[in-house]
Amino acid sequence: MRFLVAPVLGLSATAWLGSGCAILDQDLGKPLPLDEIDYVEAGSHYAQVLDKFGPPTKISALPDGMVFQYEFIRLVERQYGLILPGEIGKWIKAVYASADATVEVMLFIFDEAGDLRSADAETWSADAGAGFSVTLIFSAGSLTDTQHYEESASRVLEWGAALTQPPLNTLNARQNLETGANGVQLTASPTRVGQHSLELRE
Amino acid sequence: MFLTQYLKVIIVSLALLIAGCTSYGSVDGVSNLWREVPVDQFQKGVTKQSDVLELLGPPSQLINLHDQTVFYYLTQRSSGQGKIFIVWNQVSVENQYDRAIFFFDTEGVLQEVAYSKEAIAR
Repeated sequence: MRFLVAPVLGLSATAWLGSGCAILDQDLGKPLPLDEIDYVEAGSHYAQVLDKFGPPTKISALPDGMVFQYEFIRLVERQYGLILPGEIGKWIKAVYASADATVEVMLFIFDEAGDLRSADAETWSADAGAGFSVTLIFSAGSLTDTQHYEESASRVLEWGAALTQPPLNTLNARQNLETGANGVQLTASPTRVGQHSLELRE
Repeated sequence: MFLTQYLKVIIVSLALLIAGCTSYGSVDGVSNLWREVPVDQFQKGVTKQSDVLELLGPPSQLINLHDQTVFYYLTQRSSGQGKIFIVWNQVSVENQYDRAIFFFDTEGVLQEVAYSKEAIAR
C-alpha cells in the first residue's frame, strides 16, 4: 500500500487545491513524409508527385504552371483549472488554456509542361493562442481560437459560401488565394498579408 | 493506520467512479465512391469527364488550370474521444481526409488521376 501514498496525496492535493487540468489534441490529416521530398528529382512530372504523395491539400494555377501544397497540422491545447475562493468555488472553476500548433508543409511548383521546377518541405511550431474562462466543474472544451488552422483543409467544401462573403472579400475575389486560380497560402497566415490585406479583415 | 488505508481506498475509488468518457464523429464532403472503383479503371487518354462524373458524381471542387481542368473530390471524417476525471481530462480529435484528383485536357480527356494514401472506410 505504501506505493500508493504519493499518488493518493498528489491526487487529493490537486483535487482540493486546484480543480484539475485537461489536454485537448487534434490532428488535421496524417504527418507528411517530409524526408521523401529529397527523392523527388528536379524536372519530375507532376504525375510522379501525385503517385508518391497523393492529391495535395491545395492546388492552384500559376501564370506559368501550377503549384501543389501538402499540409499537416497538430493542435495541442493545455488547460489549467483553479478553484475560485468562497462558496462559488464549489460549483465553478476558472480555467486558463494555451494552445500550440505544429505545422508540416511540402510545396511543389511545376512549369507549363507539368515538370517540377522547385520544391521544399518545412516543419515548425507556433503559439496558437490562449484563453480564459469560468465553467462548470466538469467540462472539457476548447478555449482557444484555432479555427484558422482547422478550416483550411476543408475549405473546398464551402464552395457556395463564397457568395455570402462581405463586400470587400467579394471585390477581392478575383485575387482570392482559395480559388485555385491565383496561388496558395500557408494555413494560418496573418490576415494582413498580401491579397488579404485588401479585405481589411480583423 | 487502518483508518488511513481505508481513506486511501475511498479517495481512489471516488476518483475512478466520478469519471466519464465521451465519443463523437462526423463526416463532411462528398461520398468517397472512388474507393469502390480501382484507380486503374480510369485510363489516361481514354476516360472522359463524363465517365468520371457518372461514376463519382459532382466533385467537391472544379479547378481551372489554364489548359487543364481538375476534378477534386474530398471526404472528411472527424472523430473524437474524451476521458473525463476529477483532476485530469483528455480529449483527442482526429481528422481524416480521403481525396481523389483527376486532371483533364482541354478536350475533357483524362491525363492524370490519383487517390490519397489516407483512405476512409466506406
